[in-house]
Order: sequence, then structure tokens, then C-alpha cells
Amino acid sequence: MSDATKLGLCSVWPGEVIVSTTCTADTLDANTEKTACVFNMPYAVTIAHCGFWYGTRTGTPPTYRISIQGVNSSGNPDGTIKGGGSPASNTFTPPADSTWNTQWKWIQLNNSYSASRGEVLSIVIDYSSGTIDASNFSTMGGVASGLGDDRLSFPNKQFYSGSWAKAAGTPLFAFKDGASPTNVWGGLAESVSAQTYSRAAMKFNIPSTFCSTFKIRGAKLRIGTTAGNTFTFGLWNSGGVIQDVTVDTDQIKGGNTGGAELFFDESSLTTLNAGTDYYIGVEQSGGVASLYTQVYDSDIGQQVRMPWGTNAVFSSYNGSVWSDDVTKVPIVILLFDDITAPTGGSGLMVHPGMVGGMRA
Amino acid sequence: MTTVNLWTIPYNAAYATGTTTTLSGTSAYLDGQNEKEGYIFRVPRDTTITHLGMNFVSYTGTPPTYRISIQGVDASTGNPDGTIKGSGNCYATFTPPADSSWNNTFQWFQLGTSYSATRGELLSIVMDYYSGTINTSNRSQILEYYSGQMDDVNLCPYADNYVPSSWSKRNMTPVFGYKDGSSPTFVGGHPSATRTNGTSLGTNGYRAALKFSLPSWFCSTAKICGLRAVINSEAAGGSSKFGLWSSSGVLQDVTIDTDCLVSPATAHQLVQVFFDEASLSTLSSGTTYYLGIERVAGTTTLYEHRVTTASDLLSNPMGDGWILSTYNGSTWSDTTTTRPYISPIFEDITAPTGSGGLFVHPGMVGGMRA
Repeated sequence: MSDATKLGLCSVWPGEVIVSTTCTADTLDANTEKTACVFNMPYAVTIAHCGFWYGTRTGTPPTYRISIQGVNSSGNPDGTIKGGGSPASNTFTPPADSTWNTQWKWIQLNNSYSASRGEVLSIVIDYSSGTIDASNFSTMGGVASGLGDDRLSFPNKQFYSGSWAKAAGTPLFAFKDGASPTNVWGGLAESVSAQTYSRAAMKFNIPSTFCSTFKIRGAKLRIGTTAGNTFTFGLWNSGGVIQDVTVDTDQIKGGNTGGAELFFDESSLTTLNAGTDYYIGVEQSGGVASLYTQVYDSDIGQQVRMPWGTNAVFSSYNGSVWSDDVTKVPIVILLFDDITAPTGGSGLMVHPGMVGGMRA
Repeated sequence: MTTVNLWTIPYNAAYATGTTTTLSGTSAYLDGQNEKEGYIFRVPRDTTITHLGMNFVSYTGTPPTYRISIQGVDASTGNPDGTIKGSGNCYATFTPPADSSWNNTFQWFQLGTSYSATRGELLSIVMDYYSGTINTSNRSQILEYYSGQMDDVNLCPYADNYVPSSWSKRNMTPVFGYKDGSSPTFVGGHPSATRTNGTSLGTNGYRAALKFSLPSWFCSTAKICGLRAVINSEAAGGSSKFGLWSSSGVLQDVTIDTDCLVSPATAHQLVQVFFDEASLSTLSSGTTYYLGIERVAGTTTLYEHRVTTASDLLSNPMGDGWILSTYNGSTWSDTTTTRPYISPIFEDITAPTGSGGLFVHPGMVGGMRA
């Protein structure tokens, strides 16, 4: 047993806990221009795909190239594509329509690259072939603003137009180790949006390797409310309500959107089990309260990058059943009251009444 | 073993919003008899509140006597309801000194009567005038909130200012505190002294770090693959060195060229860095470690959150044992009133070892009897 000392586990990366996201892609309308990100590897992995935010297209975009490169002593991409004669790169041609607009795109590399932990690398998008000018181009990569990581200095995004210029903020690039990845890094939600349902919640599952049982005293979550109303902050399982508290929106600055730190008011909290699905969020009617989520494209690889992986998704309740949406992750920090270790592994308990012996 | 997909225990970076370049505090003068400052919050667990606190910014002339109290919250407005808990007895009075000794410190005041708050209860802490001369020449200035943080536009808790004749709720992170004793087991709110300072390293090889240990209820062992930190690096062309150390020395470290940062030698750069060892060290619960920065060849600064009283750090994740420590080439020295802006990033967490169990050896003979 423990008082979990204000331990909070966040469903999204701390720098992404904010209400709005503005993705500003870089304009590549000249054959010398490039957009890139510079980072260091969180772990050793074979990079098979690179991803980026695609902004918009104008006219008929040319063919671009995406590649993994090193980083020079100026902190810029060094122009040398990893892999030598088997370059870790590929080309792609955005469509001459809006089907790619404001989406994440993954490009499979012609040759994977085995990166080592801590290695400093860059992902670079540049021109490959075709007509490129002010009437035929795409905007891609870039940086996200409006986030907690707006002052992120490293990793960073860079743009080349005669020389490299670095920009603070979350670079809109990513990599993964396969079409159905086990490792995804970088990247970002396409948007942050309000989910308004009878119940809008984060469905979560604490791994049994982390603890045996636990108690939740509350959460910090991103919500929007209207003034002069009430809603319920609740914790549910498939059987129904476990804990809940009624919240008057006038007591949390109703009519605003932001982070609310809410606590349950039961005198005793319910012991929850690891490995079991639970739901935490808001219950309301009339649209008085919404739960904010990050929204991803349908590529589940985006979810793999999240701190909880696939153990946290958005779920809505229509009065009878819960429905999961794996393209959304609510912005929630679970606040633990207690964490109990898993029940024992092996151990030898010698019964005092035991007779006989032990032999190999 | 479990791969936790790179969890972090987040410590909010102080400087985080798009157009805000500095973390800034906003304060209010209480220089009229009707003026008040309130802080509205919910209680996370049953707590007997014995002390209330606020950040005292400055004084003018000879400040009057003020009162700080626990009140309820008006259900229809979300403002303090004006009714002091404990039949009007859960309050304290205090007279700030007519000198600078309190300036920019967090002050605690013991209540005449404690208040037993229950889990989830909505309360307010209110500071208002009590007695003496109060005007613009004789007043106090207190901190309402910080802005420039990740959780700006905070719906709850929030600060609430009553000047001159109505309440006005604030949208940023309020600065207030409550606790359950002089040597508390629980501290609520955000009892900050300052959030903008840093520890600068003036000698090569010196270090500034988060000194921490992992509680036994949290894990048996763990691996840390990286960290998030708010720093000022060496100049361009230099190096930023990040390390994980034990009392015996270095466990993991990585050096990043400062040219890889957006703005080398600039204050309050948020970085996210990963170690480059092929295999990470297995850390044990209960053991002391240090996670932070080391000066290579130029001035390097690690930014931090400071409190007035060491136990105020109980208001932070992982409590008052996670503090700043500095290394002078031979020994570590702790600063118990400071928590650096360091968030460890975990690659692996292994659950605490279990309680006992019966393992029946296949070679056992004989039986069991009560």
C-alpha cells in the first residue's frame, strides 16, 4: 500500500497538454528548399518509415524525397543520406488535389536504417523531380505551436532556403519501425477537438506488471463547459459507475475551456485491478461539458507513440454500450491515491507442520 | 519486465506557451478594506488543514493586519461565499513586517482552529483586511498566479480577486497553499517562492541535477532512457552534457552539440534528450541517483522551482525527496528547498517484488499438516 505521493500519469506527452494546436507546414516551392527535423534516438530501432505533416498543395506538386541524414557540427542536416549505396530514402508525389491536406503521411523507405540509441539524426524532405515553382508546390513538415512544447529547443525543426534556420516548437516529423509498428517516435496529433457525448471518457488499462491494485483519487483533464450547469466527473467499468462527483460549472469557471483538477468525493475509494478496463471522464446532457482529445489519423501507429500505447483510447457511451475510437486519445492525467504491488512471485514458505525433506 | 512505452513523471516546464517568453507572476495589492484575494480548489483526500499560505511579494509603508481563512464557495458564482469554516474560527491573522524580510517568500499561517476537509470538498482560501491603517501608502502585495506554463487557462483551481467591489476569476495557475501541520504529511496547492531561477555551473566538470530515489511501491527496478530539462546551454560550438549518476559515479551520459539547439546560450531552453548507451543501467528502488547536466567548457544553467520551506515540495509529484543537488568535482550537496525542472523518461519499470508465496519443490516428500 502507499500514498502515491501525487503521482500522476499522463495519457499524452507533457508538452502536448494544451487546448489548441496550430500546425504550420513549411513551403517547398523551389528546388533548393528543404524542411527537416533534428533529434536524437530514444532507443535502438530499425527505421522503416518516415512521417510528416502535410499542409496543403498548390497546382500540381512535384516529386519530393524524404530521407534520413546525419547532423553536422552546425546542428543542421549534413546532406549525407544514411545507408550509403542502399540509401534510407524514398520519393513521393503528392496528389494534385486536397486528399492529403492537413493529414499525417507515412512514407516507406526504400532501405531501412538501423539507428542506435542516442544517435543524432535528421529527417529531411527536399525536392526530387518535376516542375516546382510558386504555382506547383506543397507545404509539409514544419512545426506545431500552441503546445506546451512551444519552447522545445531540441529536438527542433529546421528550414533551408539558402541556409538552415532552426525553429522552436514540436517538429512535425516522425519515424516508425514497420507498417504495423512496435515503435513510433515523433509526430503529433492532427488536431485537438472536443468530444461531447452522454459520457466521454478515456478508456484505460493499467498493466498488471506495473501494479496489482490501485485507487484513483481524481484526474486533471482538458474539458470545456458552459456556465450555469452541472455535469458528472465519473469513473466507470463495464458494469457501471464506480466513483463519481457532480461538478457545478460555475465552480470551475464555466463557459471556458482548460485544465480542471477534479477529485472524487466518496469517503472510501474503490480498489481497482490492473489488467481491467476502466473509463474516466465526463457525463452530461445538453452539451454542457466536453472532453478534449488529441485526434490522429486512422494509422494506429500514431497511438503506439503515446505514453500508454494502446492502453488508453477515447470511448463514448450512448446509454447502453461503450464505443472505442482508437484515433483519439483524451488529454488526461490520472491522479493515483494508492498503488499496491503485484501479488507475489515465487517464494518458499516452509510450513511448520511439514515433514520429510527436499531433494533435487 | 514491462516496456512502458517511455513514460515520464512530468514536471511541468515553466516556459511553455507559444508567445510567452518568460514565466511571469501576477500579483495584486490589497490596499482597501473591502479588497480580497481568493483561491478556489478541491481537496484530493481527507485532510485536517492546520495552515494556510500565500506568496508575499512586497510591502508599502506599514502594512495593516490581514486575515487568511478557509471559506466555502458560492454554488451559483464559484466565488468565496464569505462564510468562514469552523463556525467562523478557521482563520489566522498576520501583520507583514514594514521591511523587506518577507518579500518574495511563501508565508504560512497557522489557523486558530483546524479544519477537517473531506475528499472532493470545494473550498476557498481568502485573504482580506483585518485591522489597522490600509491605503495605497500602507499595504501588501501578494502573488495571484503564474502564467507562461503548460496549464494556463486553468479551470480549477483558480485565483479570484475582489477589487474594488466584485470578484474576478483568473485564468492561470494560482499560487497558494494548505497543509496538515508544521511538519506536514500533505501539502496542497502550489506553494512557490520563485519559478524563474536557475543554478549556474561555473567550473568544468561541475553538475546540477535532480537527486531522486524511486519508491519501493513504484517499482523494484527501472531504466531511464532520457530526460526533459529546462536549461541554458554553453554557447554555439560547445557541448551540452546530460548524465545519470549514482554516488559511485557516472551510469549513463550523452553529449549534444549545442549547435543542435535552437538558441544556444539562451535562457530557458526546453530540451528532450536520450542517452546513447547500447544498454541502460538497471536502477534499484530506494537507491539515490542524480539526473541532470554537467558543465563541459562554458557556463551552463539548470532552471528550477524554489520554495521557502523544504516540506512545501510535498505539493509536487514524488514529494520532498526529489530535490536539487550540485556536484563540485568530488561531493554532492543538496538544496532541499529547490526542485529542478527535470523530468525522467522511463524505458522500463519492473514492478515491486511480490509478497510471499508457496513454491512446492517437485522433489519434496512428506506432507503438510496444520
